[in-house]
Amino acid sequence: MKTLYLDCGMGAAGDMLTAALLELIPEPDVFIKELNALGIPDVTFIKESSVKCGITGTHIRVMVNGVEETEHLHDHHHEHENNDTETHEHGSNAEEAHAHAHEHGNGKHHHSGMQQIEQIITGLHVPENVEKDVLAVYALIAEAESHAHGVPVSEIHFHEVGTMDAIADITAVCMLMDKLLPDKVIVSPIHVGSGHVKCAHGILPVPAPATAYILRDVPIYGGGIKGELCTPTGAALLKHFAAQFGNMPIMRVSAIGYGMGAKDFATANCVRAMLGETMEEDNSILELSCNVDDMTAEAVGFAMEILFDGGALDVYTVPIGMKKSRPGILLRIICNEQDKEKMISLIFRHTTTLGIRETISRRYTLEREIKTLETPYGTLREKTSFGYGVTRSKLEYDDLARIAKEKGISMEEVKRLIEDIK
Amino acid sequence: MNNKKATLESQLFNAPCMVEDTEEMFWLRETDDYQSKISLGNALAAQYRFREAITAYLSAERIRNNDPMLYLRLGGAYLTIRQFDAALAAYNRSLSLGISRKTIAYPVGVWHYLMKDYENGAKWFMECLPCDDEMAIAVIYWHTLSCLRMNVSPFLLKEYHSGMLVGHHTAYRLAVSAMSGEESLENAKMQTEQLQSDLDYVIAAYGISVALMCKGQAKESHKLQENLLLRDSIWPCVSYLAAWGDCM
Repeated sequence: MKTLYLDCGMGAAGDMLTAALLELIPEPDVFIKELNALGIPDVTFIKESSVKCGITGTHIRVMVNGVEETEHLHDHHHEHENNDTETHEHGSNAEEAHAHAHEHGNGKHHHSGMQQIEQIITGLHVPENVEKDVLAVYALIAEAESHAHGVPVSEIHFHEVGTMDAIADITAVCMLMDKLLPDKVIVSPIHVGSGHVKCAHGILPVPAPATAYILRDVPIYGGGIKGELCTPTGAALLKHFAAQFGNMPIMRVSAIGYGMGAKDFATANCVRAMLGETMEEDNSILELSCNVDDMTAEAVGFAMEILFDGGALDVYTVPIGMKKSRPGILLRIICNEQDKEKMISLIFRHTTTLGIRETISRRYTLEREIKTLETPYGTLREKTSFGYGVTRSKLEYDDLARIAKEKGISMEEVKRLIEDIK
Repeated sequence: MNNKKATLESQLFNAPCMVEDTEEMFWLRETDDYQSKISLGNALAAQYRFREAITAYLSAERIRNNDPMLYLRLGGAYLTIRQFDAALAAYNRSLSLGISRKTIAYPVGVWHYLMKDYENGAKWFMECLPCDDEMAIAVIYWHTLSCLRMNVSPFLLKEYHSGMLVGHHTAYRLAVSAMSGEESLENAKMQTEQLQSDLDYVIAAYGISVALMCKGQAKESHKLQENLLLRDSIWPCVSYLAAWGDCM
C-alpha cells in the first residue's frame, strides 16, 4: 500500500507541509511555477534550501504582496528587532536592541468572510477534487475559529494577509497530495508546543484554541519546547488527510522530504514526510481483558460465542482468584484494532464487568496456505504454515471430525487413512 | 515601560541588578526559538544587563552555533563586562564563521585598546576604512588615541577636516578637533563642560584627557577623567570603560 507518513515531532504548519511534500515529487521547481500560475491573488511562492541542525531541507516562503506572513489566522502581535546595526557605536556591545512593537503592514488590514474565501477558492485553476479538499480544509479552520470565538461560521472574518497565505498553503498541500496520491496518510502524534502566545485577541495558551479544537480526538503533546509549533492551517491539513494517527508503520521508504519551518529551535524544526510501501497486513493486535466473578458459566459461554461472532480472533478464559476470596475468570479477547470499539461494546453488553483493560501487542505469524485434497472419503482441507525457517502441515479439524462421524471411527483412524492415500 | 539600566557595579562586581524585564522580554522568554533568544539578549543588553544577555546569547548558541552575528553580539557583551578572553574567543569565532574583517574591525580594535595593546588596536581601527564620515570620525578618534598612547604620530588625524558630515558624532569631532590642533585643548575642555548629554561628555572628555596626558598635563587629565567617571549613566560606552580601565 502506498503510504505517506508525516512525522510531526516539531508540529506542522502549511508551509512546512508544502515544503516536505515538495521534496517527494520529481520536479519541485516545475510545481512551484504551477503554483505561482494558479491565480491566488497577490501570492508568490518562493522555494529555498534550508539547513537546520545539520539537516538540509526545503523552506517555502509565501509572499502576499511582497510581505511574508509566518502565522496563519492568528493576528500575532510580534515584537520586532530593528536590524539597523551600529557596529561602530558608542557602546562596546556592538549592537544594541532597539526593539519596538508594531502591527504588521501599514495598518490598512482588510478582512474576508467565509463566502469571499469560497469565491477565491472556486476561482482557482485546480482540479475539482483539489478544490473540494481545499474547501474542506478551510471549513475545518472556519469551524474551529467559529467555535473559539463563539460566533457562527458565517460571521467569521479572516485577516486578509493571513487568509491568502493560508489559502496558498492549503492549495499547495492539496495539489501535492493529488500528485502523490497516497493510499493512506499516517501522521505521528503531533507536538503542539507549550507556553502562551500573545495575539490580537489577547494572551492565549498553546495550542491556540482553534488549533486545539481542530486537533480534538488526535494524539497531541505539549513537550518541553516553549512556542506554538502547530498552526491551525497545519492542524486542519493533517486532520483532513490523515487516515490514522500513530507511530510509523513498517514500510519500505522510497522518498523522504524535509519541510523546514521559519524558526530555529534546539531540535530541527521540520516536518518529515516519508513515502513508501507498507505491508498490507497490520501485525499489531489488540488484547482486551476483564476480570469477572459474578457471571454464570452459561453466561460466560454465551458472551464468548457472541464475541467470536463479532469478529474476535480469539476469546478465552483463565480461572483466577479475585478479591474477597472469590473464584472468578479472566476473560481475554484478541482482536484487530479496527474492531476495538465493537468488541468493547459487546463486552460491556454481555458480561458484568465494569472495566476493560487494553494492550496492543505485536504479533508474529506464519504464512498460511490451504490445499484441498480429494479423497475417497470426500473433500478434505490441509493447512500448511511456513515462515521463519519452519514448515508444518495439519489436516483441518472440521473435515476430520466430519469423516470420523460419517464412518463411525476415531479421528486418529481418519488421519491414518488419509496419510495412507496421500 | 521600564527605562531603568543596570549599574556598572551590578555587571562588573556583585551588586544586585534591580532592573526588571519589560513586557517584550517576558514574551521573548515564552518562546524557545533562536531569534527570540537573540532578541532577548539584545533587549537585556539595551538595559545594560550584559551578564544576563550573555546567558541568553549562549542559550541561542545551543540552538545555532554558526551565526557570525551571534558571536559579534556575544563578544560585545563579554567585552563590556571586561571578560576579555571570552570576548576575543567570540570575535575569533565570528571571524572563523565568515564575518568580514571590516565589520568586526571596530569592536576588535576596541578590545585591543581596552587591553592597552595600542599597536594592534590602531591596526584594527585602520581596517574600518573606508567608511562614511560618521563612522570615520569615531575611527580617527580611537586610532589617534592609540597612537598618542604609543607616542607615535597619529597619521590618521590628517583625514580629519572641519567639513566632515559626522551626524550625531559631534562629541568625537570635538575631541578630534582638539587633537588635531584645530581647537585648543583648553577651549575644547570648556566646550565639553557645557555638554548636557552624559554620552557626549564622556566621549569628548576622555579624548581630551588622553591628549592632555600626552602633553604632560597629567593633573588636568586625571581631573577630567575623575569628572567623566561620575557620568556613569552610560557606563557601557567605550570611552567610559577606557577611562575606568585607565584609573584601575
